[in-house]
Amino acid sequence: MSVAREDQPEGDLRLQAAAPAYPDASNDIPVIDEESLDPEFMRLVEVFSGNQYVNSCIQCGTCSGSCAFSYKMQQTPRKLMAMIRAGMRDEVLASDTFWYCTSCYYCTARCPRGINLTEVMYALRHLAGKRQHAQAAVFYDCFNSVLRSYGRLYESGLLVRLALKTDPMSLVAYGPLGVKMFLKGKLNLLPERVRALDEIRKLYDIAAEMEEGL
Amino acid sequence: MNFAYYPGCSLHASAREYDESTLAVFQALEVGLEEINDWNCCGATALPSTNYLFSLLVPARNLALAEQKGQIVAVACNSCFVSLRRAKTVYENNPEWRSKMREAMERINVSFSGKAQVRHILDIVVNEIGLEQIAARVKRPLQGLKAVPYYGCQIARPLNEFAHTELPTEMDRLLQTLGVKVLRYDHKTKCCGGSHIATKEADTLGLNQELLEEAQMRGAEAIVVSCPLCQLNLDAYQEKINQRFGTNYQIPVVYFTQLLGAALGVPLRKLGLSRNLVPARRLVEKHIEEVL
Repeated sequence: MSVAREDQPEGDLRLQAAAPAYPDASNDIPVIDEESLDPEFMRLVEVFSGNQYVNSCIQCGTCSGSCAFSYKMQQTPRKLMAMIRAGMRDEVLASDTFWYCTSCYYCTARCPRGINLTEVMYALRHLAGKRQHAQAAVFYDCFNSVLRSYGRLYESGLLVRLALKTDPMSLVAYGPLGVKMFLKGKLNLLPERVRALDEIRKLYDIAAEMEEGL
Repeated sequence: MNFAYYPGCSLHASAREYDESTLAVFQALEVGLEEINDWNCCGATALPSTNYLFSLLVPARNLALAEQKGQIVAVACNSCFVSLRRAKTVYENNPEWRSKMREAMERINVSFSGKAQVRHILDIVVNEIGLEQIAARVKRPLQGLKAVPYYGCQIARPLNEFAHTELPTEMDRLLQTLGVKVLRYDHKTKCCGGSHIATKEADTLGLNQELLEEAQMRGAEAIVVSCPLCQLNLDAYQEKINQRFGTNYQIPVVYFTQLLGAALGVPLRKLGLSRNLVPARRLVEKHIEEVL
């Protein structure tokens, strides 16, 4: 039997219990039209994540609880998985969630359903790539083009390319650290090159061709 | 024993001391380490973020080069370790993508069977060479040096390849063998943020501040690492972290190979100890002198 305090009659307590504990928890997934859902989307995510079985997710939230950056993300990884499954293609690809993933693999190691969520995050970046202009997307694009230019990563060249494409003034901020690294012999002024660079470039074209239409 | 050495790009630039100390340590232990001829970048976390198949083929080319010599690949960088294993795992377990990988490699006339084994140098030192062998060769124990072992993410995850996914002990046991006093470190497999330092600097500095804070709280004189990205974030950005958080950390961040080399009697100049940005050489010298 509940005990009602004098200043708080029982009826009021019941009203409070009916209100959601977290005011925004119930409604931050927008109500959307069924027609705007893309039934093909989950299949695409599965293909480009190396055939992860997204549908086996049980929404336990272990991924979100394990993630270093879930507090920063627009949607937690758990919620994103539900949105993928629902076919909310545009909402998922516009999310910043997968750009925060650091590839630490905690979610993957702990997922009770054996889903490699890190691969799912990679797949979303891959699918979002061409229409996303997050700074991280530019970084990965620059990395990719540096790799195709030399076959090896040219760290200083990558940072310069990134700065020129996003915020040239950040080069000034990098200055003092760059000088220190250079004095310690940790900064290469010239890139190292792979001799069989044509193999890397061919692999790029072949891969693009083979992925077409998947 | 002879291994195919895959240094990875960082070890030829920002992590040169890791390369130097690794080569010196394997020489001192008389274990062959032969750099893979014309190796290429592993693609790290960037290629999987832009292309799927390409991100499998790029590391696969390295595996193919090692395979021709029939050697086990010895990898120093955690990120390379995960990339090479990722290509191998997909090739072994995923028939759909395996056939695409095979076809693509055939088209550039590189024979590839995915058979080359991939092992981290920490795994090779602890489990292949063995701690007994190491103990017998320690000439200058680092008596009393207090340190925390920081493994990072990609040496232990996604799969429990050799190190436990959350509480590995390989580096702990190795350091104890060298006479180091290994302190408890609950952050040992927490994330440093990796390459996010280039694009989400403020958030990433926060992760590293936590790592430094526990090290300081435990009384560590050094953080010992096995990954160039962890080292860069903790070492090169330590000053920036101090500015941002009003802290005063001054903790050297050294590679386990640098301490191993010092204990094995390798001349310190061969271990790149003056390259670490937070000065590390004096600390190692101090503990060696105490014994002599």
